[in-house]
Amino acid sequence: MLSIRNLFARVEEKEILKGFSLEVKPGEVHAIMGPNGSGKSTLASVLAGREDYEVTAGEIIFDGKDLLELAPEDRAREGIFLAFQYPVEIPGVSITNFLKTAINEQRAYRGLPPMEPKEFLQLMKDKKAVVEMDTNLTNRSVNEGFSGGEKKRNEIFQMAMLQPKLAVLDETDSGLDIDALRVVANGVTRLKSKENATIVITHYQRLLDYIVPDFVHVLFDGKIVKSGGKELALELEEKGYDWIKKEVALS
Amino acid sequence: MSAIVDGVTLKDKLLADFELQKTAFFPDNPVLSGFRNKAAEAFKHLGFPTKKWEEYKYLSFEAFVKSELNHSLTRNSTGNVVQNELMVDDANNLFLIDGFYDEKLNQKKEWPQGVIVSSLADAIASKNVHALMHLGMHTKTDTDSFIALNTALFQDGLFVYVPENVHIEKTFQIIQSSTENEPKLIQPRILIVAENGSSVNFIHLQVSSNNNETTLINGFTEIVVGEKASVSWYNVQEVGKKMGIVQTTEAYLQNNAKFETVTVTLAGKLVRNNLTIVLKGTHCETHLDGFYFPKSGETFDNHTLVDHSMPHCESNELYKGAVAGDGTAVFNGKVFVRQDAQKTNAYQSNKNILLSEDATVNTKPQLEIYADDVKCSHGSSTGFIDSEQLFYLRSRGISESIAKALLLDAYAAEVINKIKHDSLRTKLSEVISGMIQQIK
Repeated sequence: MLSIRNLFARVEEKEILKGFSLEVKPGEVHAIMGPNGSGKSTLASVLAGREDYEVTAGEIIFDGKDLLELAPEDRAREGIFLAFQYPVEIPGVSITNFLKTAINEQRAYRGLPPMEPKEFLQLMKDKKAVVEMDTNLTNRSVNEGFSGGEKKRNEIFQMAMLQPKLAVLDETDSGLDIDALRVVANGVTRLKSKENATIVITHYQRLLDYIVPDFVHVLFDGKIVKSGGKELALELEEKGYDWIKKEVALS
Repeated sequence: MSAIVDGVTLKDKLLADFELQKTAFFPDNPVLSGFRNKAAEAFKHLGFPTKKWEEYKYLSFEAFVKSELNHSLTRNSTGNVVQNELMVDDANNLFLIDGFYDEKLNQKKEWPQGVIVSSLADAIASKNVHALMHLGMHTKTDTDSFIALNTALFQDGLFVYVPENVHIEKTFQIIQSSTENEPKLIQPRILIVAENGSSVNFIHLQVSSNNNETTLINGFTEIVVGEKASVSWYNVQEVGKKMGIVQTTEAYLQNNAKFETVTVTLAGKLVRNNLTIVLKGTHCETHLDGFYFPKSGETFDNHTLVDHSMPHCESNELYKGAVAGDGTAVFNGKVFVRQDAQKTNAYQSNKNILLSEDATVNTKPQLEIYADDVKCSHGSSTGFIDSEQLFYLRSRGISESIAKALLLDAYAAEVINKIKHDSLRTKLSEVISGMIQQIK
């Protein structure tokens, strides 16, 4: 589904990803862990197509398409979803209007007619239940005045509404208390299927108690230095990132 | 007449017009002819503004003063119904065509006891005591060219009088339009008097039905808001590509009065609004908001002045603009809080979005405070569309152009939503959305 090969990317002349490679197949959950500054958020931004990031080498193939050739909106239409680490407030644009527009733009890209209003409302209702989202929240402007937890919940709600093939969760656990973490993680788990895949980017292991990964990768200095199963996350939690840094230094 | 006439000539022509008609226009009213004479003297002295004038430094009237504008002295009623996309159909319509109250279009209606809705010229001719008590009595006629010119030479306009404690539910929709035949100067004068405890709401539409001629509208509106009276005034401007508007609007508020106004400028070659709100009593409340959207070839300039001279008053001001192509926007907002105006709350905010590299914004908020127990703030910002917001929307599959339109619609809505007339608000939202979609 997703194939990242030997990716180099920089922002403002600073090289951040230095030979990053990753293979993701449908149905899989990959966790990418790493210390601050290792390139985790850069990876998320490059996948979503943020313009400040420049890819200098390597390739990203998503479902047979060269992802780097696509505009951010086309990546989303192809089925990539980024849950933002810092969701943006958009005063004056209601969540309902925003999602209706997004869904219909995605449908148009796939040659489908706009969703019937009734169907849309039912979908909203169903997906709000998945993330235990307050009904009133969707009448408000996107993220405006939301608490940290509400913003993250809103990200997962959008993911539920848009039903992407590949979801990239960028530090979705940051700033969440344990209850919000549980709700968000349950939402993600309930949305899992054989057809879609998830990349969970996180600094801490705790989210992975709830979203159990099939693979854990350790990102350090712009590339993956170690991969393993879910037990690797526990090992990292126990030993800390210094252990990895030493291993890298030795090799 | 030669094809190019220099600016002095239009001025001379107007002054000659004044000399010709000063004996004809209500010679038996010494007060009126007195201040018209004074205004004509002032205009003779001031002339049309040039860019050297601080208050008009971003505006060029050259296209108008160098063209062969004829002063509109005659009624041109065609009896044709004016149609405009922004007209609402749930209001009482009052038509001013070329600055003249149009008897044919304005069907006589039964107003509540004592309410007067009439041609201003008729009100003067019939020596209406309320009209003569207020007309030109609250303003300064000798410092601004356009007030002086309008005062010296206006021919007609509208007079609305609402007696004490009368509440007029249905909004008045004043439709100012112009006929097409020749380049001209149009000078409508409007006087609104809302007596103590009354309430009345207006939409003031400045439109042009297919007017492709060089036309300058120099409108002057005076609004007297009595004690505990409440007036709303929504000014919407959408005129032809060669048309200019200088619209002076002054509101004078007595104790406990409330005045709300929203100014929306959507099309025209040059639009200058001089809005002055004088809080003459205590416990007054005023809201002045504006949205302007100049595109290529258009310059929209809003000058506002809120004059707090008495204590316990509140003013809230929000002006927002979006500037496309090589359009220019000017905002100059003065708030005076005079020494006696303790316990004043005065807030002002001006925001601008540039939609192209060629767009220009000149903004100057001016807060002058001479009292010490007040709450005041002002702020101004100018920038491009927020790239983080844009990326967020695009990352959900929304195209860049639709994402921009969503953001701009929301941006304009903050001002448009202040309008309490539902159908006007809906129409404006639609028209602005349509304009946004035309922008690349």
